[in-house]
Amino acid sequence: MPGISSFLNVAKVGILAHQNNLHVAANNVANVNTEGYSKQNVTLSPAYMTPTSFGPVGNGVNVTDVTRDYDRFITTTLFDKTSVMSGLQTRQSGMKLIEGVVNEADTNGLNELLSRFWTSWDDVANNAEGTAERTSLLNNAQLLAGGLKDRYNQLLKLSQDVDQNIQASVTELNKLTDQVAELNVQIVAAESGHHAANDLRDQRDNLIKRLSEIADVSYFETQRGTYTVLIGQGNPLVEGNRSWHLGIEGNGVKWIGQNGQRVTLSSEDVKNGELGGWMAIKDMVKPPDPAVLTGSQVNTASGANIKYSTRWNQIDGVTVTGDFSIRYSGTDQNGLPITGQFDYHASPESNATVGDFLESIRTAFQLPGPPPVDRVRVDLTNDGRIRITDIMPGTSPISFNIESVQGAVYGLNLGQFDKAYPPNYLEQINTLGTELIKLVNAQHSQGVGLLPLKETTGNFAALNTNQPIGLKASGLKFSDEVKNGSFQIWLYDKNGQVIDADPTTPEVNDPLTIPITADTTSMETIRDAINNAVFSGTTTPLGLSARILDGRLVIQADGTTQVAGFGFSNDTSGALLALGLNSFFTGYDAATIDVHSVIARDVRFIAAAQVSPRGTDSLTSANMTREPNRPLGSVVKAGSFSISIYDKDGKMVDLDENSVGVNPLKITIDSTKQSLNDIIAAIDAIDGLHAEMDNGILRVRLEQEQPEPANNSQHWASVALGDDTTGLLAYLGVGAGFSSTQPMNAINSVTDTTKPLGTAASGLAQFQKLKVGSFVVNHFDADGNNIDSRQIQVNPSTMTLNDLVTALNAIPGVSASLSTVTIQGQTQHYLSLTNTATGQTMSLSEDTSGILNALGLNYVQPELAGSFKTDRMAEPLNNIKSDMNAGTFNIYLYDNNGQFMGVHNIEVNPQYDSLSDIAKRLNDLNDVKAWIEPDGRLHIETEGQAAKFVLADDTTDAPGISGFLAKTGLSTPPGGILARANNLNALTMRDLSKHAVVNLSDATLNEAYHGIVGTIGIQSRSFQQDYDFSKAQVDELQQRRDSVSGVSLDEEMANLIRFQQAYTASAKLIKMADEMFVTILETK
Amino acid sequence: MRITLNSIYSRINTDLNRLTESLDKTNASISSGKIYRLPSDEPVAMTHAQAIRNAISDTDQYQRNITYGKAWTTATETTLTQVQDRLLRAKSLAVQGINDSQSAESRKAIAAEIKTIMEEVATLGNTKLGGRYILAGSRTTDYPPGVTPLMLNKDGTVEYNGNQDDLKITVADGTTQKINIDGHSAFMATGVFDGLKLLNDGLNANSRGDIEVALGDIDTAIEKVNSLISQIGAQDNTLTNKTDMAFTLSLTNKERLSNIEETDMVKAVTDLQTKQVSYQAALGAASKVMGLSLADYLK
Repeated sequence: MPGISSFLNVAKVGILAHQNNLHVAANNVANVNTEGYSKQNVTLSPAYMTPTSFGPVGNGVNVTDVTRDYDRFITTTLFDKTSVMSGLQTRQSGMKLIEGVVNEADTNGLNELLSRFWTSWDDVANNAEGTAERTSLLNNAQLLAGGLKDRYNQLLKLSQDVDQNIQASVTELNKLTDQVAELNVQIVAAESGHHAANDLRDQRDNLIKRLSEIADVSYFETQRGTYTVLIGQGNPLVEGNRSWHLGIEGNGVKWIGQNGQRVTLSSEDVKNGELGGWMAIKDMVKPPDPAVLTGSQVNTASGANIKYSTRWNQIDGVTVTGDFSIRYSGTDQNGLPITGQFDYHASPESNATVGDFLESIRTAFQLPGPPPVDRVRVDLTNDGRIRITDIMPGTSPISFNIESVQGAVYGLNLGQFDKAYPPNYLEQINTLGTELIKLVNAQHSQGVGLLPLKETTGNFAALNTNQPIGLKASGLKFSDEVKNGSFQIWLYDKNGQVIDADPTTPEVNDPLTIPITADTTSMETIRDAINNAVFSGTTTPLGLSARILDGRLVIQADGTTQVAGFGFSNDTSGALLALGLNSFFTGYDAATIDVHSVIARDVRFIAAAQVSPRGTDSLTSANMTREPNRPLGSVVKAGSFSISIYDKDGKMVDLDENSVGVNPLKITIDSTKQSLNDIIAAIDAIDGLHAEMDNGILRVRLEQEQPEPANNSQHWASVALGDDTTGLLAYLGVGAGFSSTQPMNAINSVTDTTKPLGTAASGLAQFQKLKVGSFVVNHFDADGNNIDSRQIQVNPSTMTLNDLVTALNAIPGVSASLSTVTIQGQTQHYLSLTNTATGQTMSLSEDTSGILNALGLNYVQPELAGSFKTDRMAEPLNNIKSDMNAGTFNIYLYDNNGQFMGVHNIEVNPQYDSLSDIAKRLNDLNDVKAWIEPDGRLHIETEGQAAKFVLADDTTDAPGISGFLAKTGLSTPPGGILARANNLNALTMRDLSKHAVVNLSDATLNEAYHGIVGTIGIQSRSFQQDYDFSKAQVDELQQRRDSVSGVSLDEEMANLIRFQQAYTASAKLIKMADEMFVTILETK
Repeated sequence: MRITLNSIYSRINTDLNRLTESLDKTNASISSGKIYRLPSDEPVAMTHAQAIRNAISDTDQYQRNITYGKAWTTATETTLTQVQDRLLRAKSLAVQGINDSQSAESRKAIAAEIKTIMEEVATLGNTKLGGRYILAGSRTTDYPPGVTPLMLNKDGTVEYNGNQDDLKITVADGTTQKINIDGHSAFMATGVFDGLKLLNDGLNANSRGDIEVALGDIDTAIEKVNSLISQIGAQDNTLTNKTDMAFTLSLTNKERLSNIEETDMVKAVTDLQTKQVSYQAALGAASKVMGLSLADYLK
């Protein structure tokens, strides 16, 4: 039965309950800004009722619990997303730092420095001698080297700063895990009364949230109410009251186990949170671990990455058709050479796997036993790269390179082992530096500056100077740039004049050529080759000496001969690059790049020039040859020739009154005194005869005004020259038209006497001028009467020279013969006619076929003209003496790379050969074109395969007589000359800016840098976008969490009013109960 | 859905932050004139901008090279034109000398002038530009004392001490252009001195035939020098064309660069205004929301 006291009790519990409500609401209001606080609610339940006859009657209210508004799912999701967001935020801010290093928004970035470096070469090319241009180039090169180094160092510094952030994150994480473990204990203790320890739980959740911000930890609640927190691949951080710590050891973050065991946490293990973010940033800028060599090549077998057990013929893109071998080399922990070879035998059925190769490498690095000690671990990365890890670090980092893959295997590429793969930003900047150095040095090393070098020291030290420079075992940085080939060293005296290293070939200058075979030539071989070099054909050392100083090759002019300096050229082997000789930059990557100190000290050593190559591609003779068709060795001797004149009746006219009978006029020549002008004047002085030099050509004709003919004579009708013993007529190109004593020699030759003269096959130069016709052979008696005339029919399409000889020989008093000479394998036949009729004179006339002129003979006619042009007519005829021995000269041909292609021997027979003949002979050669220019100069140029030619070995000279080449003024550069304005190397260098670099994915250096900037920008931007998205997600989740767990002041206010009113009402109940008591008590 | 105090304030914060950030960006793009401050602002545009800047730097350099090269071609052309003038004078003297009315004495007098012409041509062959011999191939400086590229000996023969190398400059990507004519081509292969010497000797020897031949030689030399002048003229023209091309290219590239990286001011200012308005609206709304609390209405 409810009574007043129970009523009072109801009021009391009501008051207390609402007081609790108010308290909790007030607590909510107070904690409105407390992070992680969950709104708490008081759970009320009706108090146990009192059974009555009319049913149970309630006894007020009980406070059963204070709960928090909490949604586990939302909270867990929120923490997960927070972790992602905080990871992205960290990445974003890290990327902003990286971006700052390569920021090209400003126009003075590295891009500009690169650009200016390249264009500076153009300025040097414009004025190769200019010190100002060279200094400006030096300046720009130093800025570029400094810029690259600066970018590298900034990234490296960033990498070190990131370490501090990682350290801070780890420290905080360790503190947090301790706190979570502590709270675990407190919560278990506090909840022993089966009531949730709301505030402690909130606090613990808050710690977990903070933990999530640091790293992507996972956690779950145990039945006892403790949290277990895990990191990475299930490594516990908190379990019950125990906590584990992370530590930083070496370069990595390690989880430290209970017994001190270490587990490395990679950025794969910790992806998110600040720690994950910083570790990711670290991966982008950290320098490679020198103890780990990773292959550049991802090798896959049918899409899956290769494994230890993958067989060679299963790798994608690799075809194995038989045996093959892989040669490799490197250096060990002490810098000593490691070389080895893996042989694959196809038959019988080979089960050889990639693993066998890895074992071969491991064994090669072993310290010899017994038992052998492993010094490296060789395995495959998850993506199929070969990885060699140094497990016994020594004094120098290990190195490794696959030197060759030979045999019946195609498409096998195991990659290079000189960089970190995949390359991060630091490595990309480094690679940029490496490729810049390689590109520039490879070109620069083959050039020469304004001065020859006196001494040059290689940039790169070999660890093993007896190992081939093409093998990694040598320890040279750029050993894999060495190919089979050679380089040349030119020698110079103190005036910069080239010194021929091979005096046995005086026509050209020769350098010392050092042959390089990539897998046998060592630094010591090169040193010895230089030290043992002598002037060819002698035992005199060159005066160059080489030594090895701290593993570097030093070459110097030692002053024992006149050799005072040297220059390099034509390096087809890459050896100069690998040795670092005559280089522009020193160093091997962005961290080490610098301008060579020699260049920095003296800009004259900037190699803007290249040693001029031997020979030329085109040459015009300096001296003019007045008549290119005249035999080169024409000589006019003392002696005489005769003029013969015929009247209208065809009778010979007596021109020599002093002799008996009818005779031609004999003109005697004193070649030491008389000049051509004198001779012409003498002929011209004859009444009725006119002679002149018409533009260098002799013309003789009968004058219009004839003297009164003598008795029994008619007017003059025709004239001929002949009976020449001086050579003057041949020199002027006038063929003999008559003969009394001297034979009539044809000037022009035929090469084939059995071919019709009207065809090219006959070899008659003027074969096209022949027509069907005839000429006449006459004989005159001593009185000048024509006693015999025989006509010879000429059909140029059928008549051969032999036929002509036969036809002529059929005439009485005529002996025709052929004089034959063989030059350059070509037989030439000259027709010679002799008058055999004693006391008679023979003449040729009435040629309608053109055959006589074509053969270089003549016939009687009113007007004669020479065919060879002449000058220097006022000088004594002796001067015409164009002495030259019969002999030869050589034309040497070289291809585009300066490689010798072959030599051709050209015969010169000055008695028969004209300049035209020589031109023809040269033109007939493969790859050579030659012609006579209109002003009588010989022009020679190369075509086809040949790029340069050298003319040399002229044997047509004799003491006091210059030979063919000297006379015509043909001289080719002997090579090796230093020309100060030569800018070929500078131009080529400038062109390198457009050169696609294989190791930069066929991009140019500039493009590669743009690529790096672009990648960083895009990466940063994508982090930013991801972060924005993630932030929105977190905000949304936070709002959802708040909507569940957060405190709304309005709501609390309303609640407070509600609870206050309930409280007031409950208080009223007490008053009412009091009144009820009073009522009862006052009932009297 | 319950909106708690934290939700309201964090939203106000987030939104105002976003607006100020965007305002700041627009403001920065106006004040710097560029659409980016960092690569991530516009990574693709920046990559393009760098390539274009390289191209501009290249073309600017090409224009400098061409200016330099044109100085050479112009100087060479002028020199060769002067050589030709001398040859034309020699030709008219030869025509005069060939005349039958000339006596041995008068021919000697003409020979003296020819001798002077030879000396003048030799001097022209040693023309310098900026301290460098322009008609000496690549041996432009560094001659021993008393030696020049073209030396006229007492006997009228000449000696060429330069070489036959071409001098080239870069005029466009991967394209070089020859800017010189070497002395061998200009004076030896043209036969300038051969003709003059023969003329001189012919006049001195009173040999009409030689004068006649020399006249032909001089004609040939004039023709050859003429063709060299047109050759160098053509080189000069090519350079002019290339410089025009480089100039146009540079202009186009500068325009492209400005299109890519420069702020569109009209748009940016309009954007700024829009953003300003929305920022003000957001501030207004925020202050209104912040002013609202049930507590204010409870007494």
